[in-house]
Amino acid sequence: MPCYFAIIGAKDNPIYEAEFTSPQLNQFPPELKELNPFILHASLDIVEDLQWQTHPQAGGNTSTSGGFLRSRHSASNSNCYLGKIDHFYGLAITAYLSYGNMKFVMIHSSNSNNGAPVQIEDGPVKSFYQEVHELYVKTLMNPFYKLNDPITSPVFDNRVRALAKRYLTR
Amino acid sequence: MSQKIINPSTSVAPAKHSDSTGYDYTIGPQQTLPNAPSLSKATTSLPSVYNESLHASARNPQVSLAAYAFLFQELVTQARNASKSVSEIELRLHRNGYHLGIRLLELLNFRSSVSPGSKNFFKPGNSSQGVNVASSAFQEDSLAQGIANMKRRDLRMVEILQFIHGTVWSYLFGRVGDDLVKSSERENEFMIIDNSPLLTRFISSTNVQCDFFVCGIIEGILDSASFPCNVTAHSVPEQNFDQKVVFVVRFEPQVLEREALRS
Amino acid sequence: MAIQTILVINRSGGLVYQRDFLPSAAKLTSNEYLILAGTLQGVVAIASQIAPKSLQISAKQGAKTGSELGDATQTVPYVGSLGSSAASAADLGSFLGPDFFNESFTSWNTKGLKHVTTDQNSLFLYQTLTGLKFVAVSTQNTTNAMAVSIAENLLRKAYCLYADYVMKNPFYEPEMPIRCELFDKKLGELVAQL
Repeated sequence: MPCYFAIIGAKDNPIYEAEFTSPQLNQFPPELKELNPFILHASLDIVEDLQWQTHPQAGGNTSTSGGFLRSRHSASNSNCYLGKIDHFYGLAITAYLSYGNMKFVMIHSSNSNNGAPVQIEDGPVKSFYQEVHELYVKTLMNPFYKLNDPITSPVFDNRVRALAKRYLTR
Repeated sequence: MSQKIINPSTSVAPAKHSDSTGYDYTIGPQQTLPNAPSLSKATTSLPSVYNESLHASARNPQVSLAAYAFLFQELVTQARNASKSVSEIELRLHRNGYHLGIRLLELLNFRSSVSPGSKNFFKPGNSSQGVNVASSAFQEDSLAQGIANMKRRDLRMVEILQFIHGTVWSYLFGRVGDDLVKSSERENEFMIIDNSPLLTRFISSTNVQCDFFVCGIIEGILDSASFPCNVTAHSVPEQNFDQKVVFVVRFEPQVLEREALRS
Repeated sequence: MAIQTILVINRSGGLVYQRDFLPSAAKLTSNEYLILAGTLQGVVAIASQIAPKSLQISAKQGAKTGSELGDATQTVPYVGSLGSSAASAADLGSFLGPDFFNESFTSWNTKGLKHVTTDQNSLFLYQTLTGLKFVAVSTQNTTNAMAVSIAENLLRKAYCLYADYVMKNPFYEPEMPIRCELFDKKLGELVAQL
């Protein structure tokens, strides 16, 4: 399935964006493509709400704000991967937070055009986020990289795309 | 006219994504094109920060104390030559430490997520090999594969301070901090106590407080973890520990508010 | 035997550090100390000028070495009485461990003055490779070889303290008079252990 992935910095500025598509599968329709950044930014409110919850994915408790949108999870103690946090007309949005509160957000689109909601496989998505997190930490180890600057390294780009190929677009 | 006009992220790709040149914020997100090579040769063979392993055992964790002291001495001298006043020296040291703190927060937390029993544990980076086969090159030294669960992000003031007092201190100075105290007078004030600070142990007390470097580290960590605060160092000589330093952390009121809401 | 004074002389013969340890002893004025430092520097230079000839002789004669003029590869035996038991790992500064101070070491003072005896005092010199000199003045005159080794061990430790607390202090200008509280304090502790 096509995905739109972005890393959002502390000032809600994108520091990296990428679209993962593959030839066999659907692409984002052109009219929707331009909307992606907006959809993604709209979900940042939910991310920031979940950011400070002690158990952001402990259960699908509908009473807490944003909770009804979350995917159910095994009660793991980790609070980096937030799981599915939002949806928008059949698009699913997942998020992940790094320790420095960088927001890793992704829009998943379904393969079919019938508008059926996208099923997120948490396992590979989570692994993808963790691997990108590692790449991000490596970026940060570069003394010439400043926090919240766009990541322009082609190596980073290549590696993220290779990871996407491995975990997401199969 | 400026060359870098920020285009709307249009559906028509302005240039063919033939060989990746990295993310360009003026163009927007780029598609992975069907025939794009997954990893071009040029980018894998170059020495790059992405080829290094993040694992603690990838490098010798031991640093000579003399080297550490001389490096710090040079840092202070440089700050001193560039500044006009004492507070400016301290500000420069503080700023140097701040950038270190930002990086330490991510690095140390990430490292402590790696469970010691994972399969990559005894295999630090294989980056030195000359020829890297496109896709397998980085799969092997990826630590994230061995992580089942990431370490919890620290959400409370006490948690993040314990992280500093424990993990960060032992990474930087080889031992945990001597004490972590909450101020009895002010709600937002915490104190990290070090009886014999390693960095300044060879520096006779002057009017310049060299521990501001460590203040910068602490503030960098707390700031990037969204705990805006102000950290100062005070030297409090005691009978047995005449170099004792107290790092006073004052959180901004919004941190307290948030914690009151979420608890 | 007690240490009366410790001096540090830089490589150009200037006095950069002077400290008295016995309050009761007769004091020299600071000017006289400067002259003493300058004189010592000159004597050391002269001694090193005359040294090679006597070294040649001592080398020919074999094992017997002159008392003032050590041979090229002399090692000084470690003297255990030097308060090393009290020196815990934390006190050793950046020097690796106690074994650094438990073995005999090479004396770099290969040609030149090592020891001066007068009626009242003895004066011991420790020279470093960089030309820095540490001088200890003791209250008794002695020609005992043991005393010379003790003094050399002591001054070597003082040199280690200098390397730590003076050279690693960003506020110290090289070749200038030493004003470092920590060096004062540690040197005081070292002499007090004797």
